[in-house]
Amino acid sequence: MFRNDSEKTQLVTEKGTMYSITMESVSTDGIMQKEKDSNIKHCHDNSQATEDREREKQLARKRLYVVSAVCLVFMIGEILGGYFAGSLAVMTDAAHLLVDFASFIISLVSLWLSSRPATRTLSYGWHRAEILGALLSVVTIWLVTGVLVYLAVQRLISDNYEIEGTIMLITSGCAVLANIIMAFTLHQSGHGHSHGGLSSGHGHSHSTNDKSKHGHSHKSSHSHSNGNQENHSHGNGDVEQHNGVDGQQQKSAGSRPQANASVRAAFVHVVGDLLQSISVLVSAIIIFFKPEYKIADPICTFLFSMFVLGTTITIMRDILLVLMEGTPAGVKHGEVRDRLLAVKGVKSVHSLHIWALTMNQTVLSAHVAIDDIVDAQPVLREMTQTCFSNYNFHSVTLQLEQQADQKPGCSLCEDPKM
Amino acid sequence: MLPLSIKDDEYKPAKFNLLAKISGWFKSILSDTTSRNLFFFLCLNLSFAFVELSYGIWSNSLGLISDSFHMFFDCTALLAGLAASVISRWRSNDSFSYGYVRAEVLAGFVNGLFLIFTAFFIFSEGVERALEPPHVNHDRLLPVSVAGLLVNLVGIFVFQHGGHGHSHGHGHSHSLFNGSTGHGHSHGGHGHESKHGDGHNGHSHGDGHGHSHGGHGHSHDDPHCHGETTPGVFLHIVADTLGSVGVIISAILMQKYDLMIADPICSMCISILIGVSVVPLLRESIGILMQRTPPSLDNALPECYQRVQQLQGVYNLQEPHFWTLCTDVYIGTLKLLIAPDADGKWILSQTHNIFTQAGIRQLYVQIEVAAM
Repeated sequence: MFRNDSEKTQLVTEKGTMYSITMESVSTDGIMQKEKDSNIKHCHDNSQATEDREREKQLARKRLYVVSAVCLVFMIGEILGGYFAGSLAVMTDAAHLLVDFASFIISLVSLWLSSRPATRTLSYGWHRAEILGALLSVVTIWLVTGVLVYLAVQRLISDNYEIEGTIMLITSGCAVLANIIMAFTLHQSGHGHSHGGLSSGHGHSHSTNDKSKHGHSHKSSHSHSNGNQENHSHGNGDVEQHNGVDGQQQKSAGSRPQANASVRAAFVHVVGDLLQSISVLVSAIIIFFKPEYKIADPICTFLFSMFVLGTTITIMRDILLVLMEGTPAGVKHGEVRDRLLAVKGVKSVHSLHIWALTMNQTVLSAHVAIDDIVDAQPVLREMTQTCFSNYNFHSVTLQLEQQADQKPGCSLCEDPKM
Repeated sequence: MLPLSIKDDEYKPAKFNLLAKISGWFKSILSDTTSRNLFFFLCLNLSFAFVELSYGIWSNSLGLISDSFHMFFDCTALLAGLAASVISRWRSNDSFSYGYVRAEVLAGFVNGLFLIFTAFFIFSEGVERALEPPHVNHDRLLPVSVAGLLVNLVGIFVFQHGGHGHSHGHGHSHSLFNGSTGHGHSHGGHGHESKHGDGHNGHSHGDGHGHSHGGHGHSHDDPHCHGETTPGVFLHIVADTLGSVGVIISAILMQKYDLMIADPICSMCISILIGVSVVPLLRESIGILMQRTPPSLDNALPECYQRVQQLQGVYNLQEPHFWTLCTDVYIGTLKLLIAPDADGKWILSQTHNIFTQAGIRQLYVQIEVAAM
């Protein structure tokens, strides 16, 4: 941030005396700022998290808008088509698209909510709204799948249903197409490349990997706009804006940016719908060629419902990790502890808690016991520096205590057991 | 180097481990009153649901089958609560430095969500049936709803004391819930059936989610939470009971006075009641999950801030963040800017004292010294 300021200062001084007043004020500001910098390192100097988050959210928002539009168009088309063709199957599919649309709206709303400024009661801001929205989305997927399974069971038992092969075929074909378009939008935004400055490496299976179903090596959309790169050139990178990245030093072994939760939830919805549409397509093909095998319909529904539930597993795991105040996937508790211990003057670290506000916003707090003879402030500064340069934390709070004050038998000071 | 401990876990055959784990869970469940009750209630509900399912399949009654599905749905809610109670007692580890105590809050939240969805479904079905009243088959209606009522009454009796065997400390959160259970409601089982032309309903959706768990007696550093979700269980059960009662009433109305409209109206009323009563539960769990400053501290905190800022040497208190881990366990972080000549140690201990008096036991204070 202050890099830009100094650029500005340069420009203004070059313009000469015409701007003498501004120049003065700017240059004094510049001087003051430099002084400030050398004496007090502001605790947020190193935090890239907020800017990264802004970028992440903007990207997520764009994607969700596009996808909602596509969904709406297809849904209206299907409703009209179903109405004129008088087909129940088409209407059911339109209903499914409606649920998808609802989940996109949920994602957008939760994204909007999470941009709201912090208040006194929500001191961290509304970040968690994103996670709760994603949870709601996933629960809706379960519900819809449950309803479909229920209907399929009903069909199996009552056995009085009529299936029109042709219409089903056409509808499911359209649905599959729509879902593929949406999946692409949410998953990929273009180019995968390795950014300069970072050693190549690549393709780590992203921590949020969901290998199976759709042959990408990593699931969902991650807008990584963050700085903490350690080599990733993901094959399908939706590595959009890397502007911030180039100047960044390589953050070693640190957190890999995770996908934005809202977009991931929307993606999981779309994948689920894609699977359902494929199941309808498969059974439509079977029924088209062999109308007596209409039992294929419920059976396909069962089968693919299982798959859909499977796709929700990874995102649920990550959501639960955040809501349970767990250590985020990219950060290792032991590693952070070791790094803190490595700082000169630090004797022990206890009550170290690392948790996430939302996918890429991590918060750290710890009690640190330092040597009695060492001056606290430089140690504090160094530890904060270590934290921020290796990981992309949202905020770090370190309580420094004297080594002499430690109680050796205190159970609360023990490390969490493996 | 001699090994200091021998981990023969890896040499045990996997099956044996699973059994050991499961028996461990059972022990954990049975050790605590509430979770024990919850477990038995779950078993009761589950068996009732199975009976209904098999009867429905045998008599080929779609209504009974759909109703048993509804019961299973509720059993999942109960199961979630039970799971939460077991999980929240697990020890903390590297991935979960605070332990698993949030599980109860989550279970409460998920349960609240389920209840809202259920209310919504029942409402929509009520509307559907009001618009096109189908013929309701009364035969199986009454016996099943009476049976459901009985099961619910058992539940009420069992969970009557809210099951807060040990949770007396946090009067507030409980009274909030218990107060609101006054008007309970239930997702009247008459949710579906009639739709399929088979009347029958009134099944108890026992449910509940989570419940207070052990809490004390641990020797390790996990925070203990007291019964955050037992109120939710009670709420659910009272809801069901009233639903059964409502169904019985509407069944009688329909039989005696042939008032077909009674059924959908009953559904709609009940679903609205459900929705309304779930709101406090949802509000609280959402607040906790959103890392909201604890509502019970809303008054105490500004006072604490003032006291801290009045300490000698403190220039400024910055970035206070306080949040609830689970019921009654509060965690906070803040940054203090102090004068270069101030006594950091003293300020630190005073700050801790001030906040401990307010009930916040886990506090992280980062002290920064202002430049001259």
